[in-house]
Amino acid sequence: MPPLLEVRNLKVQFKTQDGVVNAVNDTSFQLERGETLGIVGESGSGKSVTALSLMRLIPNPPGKIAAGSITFDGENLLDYSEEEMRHVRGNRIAMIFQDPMTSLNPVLTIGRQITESLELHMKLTGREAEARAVELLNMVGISSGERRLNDYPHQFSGGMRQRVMIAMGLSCNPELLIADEPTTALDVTIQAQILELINRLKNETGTAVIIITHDLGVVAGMADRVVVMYAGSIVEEGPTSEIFANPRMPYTIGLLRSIPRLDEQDGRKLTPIRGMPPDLINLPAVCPFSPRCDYFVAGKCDQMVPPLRPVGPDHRAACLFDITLETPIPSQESLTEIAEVA
Amino acid sequence: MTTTAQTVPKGGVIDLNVMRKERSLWGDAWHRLSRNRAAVAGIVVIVFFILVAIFAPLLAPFNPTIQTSNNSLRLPSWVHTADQSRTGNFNNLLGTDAIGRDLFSQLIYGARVSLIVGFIPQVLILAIGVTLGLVAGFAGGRIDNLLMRFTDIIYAFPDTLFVITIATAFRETWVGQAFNGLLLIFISFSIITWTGMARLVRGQVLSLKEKEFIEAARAVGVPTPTILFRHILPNSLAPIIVAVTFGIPGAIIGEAVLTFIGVGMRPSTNANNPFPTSWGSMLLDGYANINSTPYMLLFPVICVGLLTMAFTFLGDGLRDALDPREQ
Repeated sequence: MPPLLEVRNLKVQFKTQDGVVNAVNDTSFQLERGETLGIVGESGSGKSVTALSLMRLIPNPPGKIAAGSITFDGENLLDYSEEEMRHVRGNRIAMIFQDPMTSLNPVLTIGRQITESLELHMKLTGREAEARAVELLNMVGISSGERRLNDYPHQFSGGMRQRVMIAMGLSCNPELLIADEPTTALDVTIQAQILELINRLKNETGTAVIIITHDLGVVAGMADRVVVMYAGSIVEEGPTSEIFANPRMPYTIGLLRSIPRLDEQDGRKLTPIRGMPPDLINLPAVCPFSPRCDYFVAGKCDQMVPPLRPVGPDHRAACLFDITLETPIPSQESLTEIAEVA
Repeated sequence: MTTTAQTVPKGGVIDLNVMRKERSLWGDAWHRLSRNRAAVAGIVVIVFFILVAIFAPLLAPFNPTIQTSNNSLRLPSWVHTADQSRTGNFNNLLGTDAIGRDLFSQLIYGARVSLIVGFIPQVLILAIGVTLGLVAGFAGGRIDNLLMRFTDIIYAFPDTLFVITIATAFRETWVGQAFNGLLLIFISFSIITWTGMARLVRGQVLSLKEKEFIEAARAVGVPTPTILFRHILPNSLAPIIVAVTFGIPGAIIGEAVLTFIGVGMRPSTNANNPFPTSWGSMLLDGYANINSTPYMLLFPVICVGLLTMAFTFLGDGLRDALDPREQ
């Protein structure tokens, strides 16, 4: 059976005044049915753009999908007409946005917004759609759904609104649910509830989930597999347990070192990744992480873009060297060299 | 230390939500509007004039087109002179005009024209302005540029001069004759004043289409026309309503001015015409007889003033009530 989703060499560009921004470069990954894939990376690494590309929602102009293919259930979504794509959106691929405070229309009732996609895709009549909407609200843990249908978004709290968004996302039983930082705008207790809800619904409905986040804790608790993105490219990919236990790309290692851990005994200092992500307008053909890398080797890392290579079973990393958590960080001398190169 | 706590009935859960009153956005706005005295006074005046206009045949003591001899330029009922043919009587409450038509009845029927002249052009302005604004704002790029430059060109015409020119040029054609010339007033007024509405709507669409809930609607697969009309338009309804309310008094005064300078509505002599006269044409008559009967000018002026002020107060109130910053 082919994978549910297969992205091959995806390239997304945005035209700006300063030049062409290569938001996503040559990205390939795949997703099986019922699987949860975590996409992590810092701001501007291309996570959200990748997600929007899957929905073909890149604003054009200025953006465009320049190359690659997105094969969903055996068909290339990039070949679809806008009309065909409309029947995929919300129906077979659904999306949950980051900020539930702004992603619900303030002047429409919750009921109207949930029933909209039901009437659109499932061809339900008004009354059937309402019954289904009540069912969905109960499913996401909003009680007395009949009454809540007539409420407006401002009458809901942030967590409740995100539940409504999830209900909307799952309304047509999509095969794929894309959650773009679904918990970033929520406080921690609500975050846990929402993640738990997504997990439960995933198990109940068998929907595949792509969860986009910069929170490694979210990924650890949710994802089967993880893709780490940096500067528009995938730099490491593998099963969640493997990524956390045995990261092979200095960027992933840096990410893991920069988060606090409760099970740490002594007063370990957090080590942030220094520097800033590169400008995506003129990316030179070097390892994009090299200016920030502790393991930088002059004459190697600044010569080529490291390809994604297998470093273990089902585990790929884009580093020229075999670096693990145990590899000691080289002395300060090499750091001065880095400064020279940068 | 004592604390007060809600007693939870055994085996039951209190649903705190039930106690909350249901309130929609428009409910909130109405609540705020009803606390604004000037706006409420405006509504009362507007409703009063609307009722007068609707029930004009029942309220008016005479048909305003009927001329009676030996009864011209009669003064209002409370003004008495030695001249028996002109002294006020209760037959003609507000007196009569130069050809013996009852002023009170004319005022009542005149409300019809003023209100209709206020409302109908707004419908046309909405149709043109909202359509162009939506298309320009949503399509963006070259289409937006083209439509907005066209809007700028129209905007650059001097309004009144344009309306006078059109009204004069087409006065003798069938368009100019239709509905005593009212149709021509509607059209000439609308095709010059829609620019403000188009700009307003375009601005709204430009800011709304970048909102996340529009992206979310697209991610659900909502077709573009539905996004425009069901998601974007209702969000920009508040400023549109305010603009329409402020536009109405302008149109009412516009009609009065046009008719006053003689290129607007034609007073009808047909007794069955539902729109026999307007406050504008009464102003014209009154001005002609200002020396003998200044009241003829005074009454329509009061009516036009009251109605425009009422709409302005209502517009002010609506603007405050619908302002999202107050929510």
